[in-house]
Amino acid sequence: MNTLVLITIGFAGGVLGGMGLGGGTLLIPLMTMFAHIPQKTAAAINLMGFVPMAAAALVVHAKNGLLQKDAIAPIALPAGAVCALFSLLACGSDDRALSRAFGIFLAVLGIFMLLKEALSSLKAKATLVLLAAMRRDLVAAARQKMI
Amino acid sequence: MEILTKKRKYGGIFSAAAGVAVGAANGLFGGGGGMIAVPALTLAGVPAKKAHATAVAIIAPLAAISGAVYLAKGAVSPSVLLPACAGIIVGGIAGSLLLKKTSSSRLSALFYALMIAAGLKLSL
Repeated sequence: MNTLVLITIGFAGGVLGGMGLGGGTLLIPLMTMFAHIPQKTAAAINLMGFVPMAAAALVVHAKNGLLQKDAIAPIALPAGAVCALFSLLACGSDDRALSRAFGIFLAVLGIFMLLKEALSSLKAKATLVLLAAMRRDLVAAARQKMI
Repeated sequence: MEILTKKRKYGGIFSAAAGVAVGAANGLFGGGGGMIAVPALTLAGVPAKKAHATAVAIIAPLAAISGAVYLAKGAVSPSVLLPACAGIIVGGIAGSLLLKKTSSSRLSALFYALMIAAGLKLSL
């Protein structure tokens, strides 16, 4: 495999990850679609690349008091056990099938997130309209009282 | 006042279920666990910014565990792993510097659109 292609794709995925855009979710399809790297290899690269990045980010997050420490173990402990089991399962599975399943996972998650984003911006707009209407009512009531 | 000072307790069935989903995605696909962990934390009452940071703390040990399994099972050779990881680390630094200069809601909408496009391309 071409080393330069690997560095370039890693760099592109790293930029996305560094911007907080869930690097792996795009780094893996970048690797499988454009560099024809098998799904399992792409997964392994993403996982191993994430560890040093996360370690560096966590030092900063901890310093800034951004870690909700009591929320980590209740999710991370069951996740760790399931994760080990599913990694073994993935290593014994067919690359093409895994890639397809990952594609479905991405599309469903993407649609869900996009809808959520649209809904929250709609909510913000509705709140503004409501506040403006309330203000108009208040002003009208105040005027009436003055008369 | 009592509501404000009351300490929220995390845990229980919801966290366990979220953990199972996060672990399954991370183990099976080698990524995507964070996309589940962040909304799960937010739903449990962790503020958005803290949820992002805390999700990294949850995913990091998982990535180490599944990365070790994939490596032990020979899914990747060091000659492929090392240059890609070097790119990821340098890119990560560049990305975090770039983040300060971009608007977030447009960026995330673009990101979700890319996710859907890549997902459809892979699954069809």
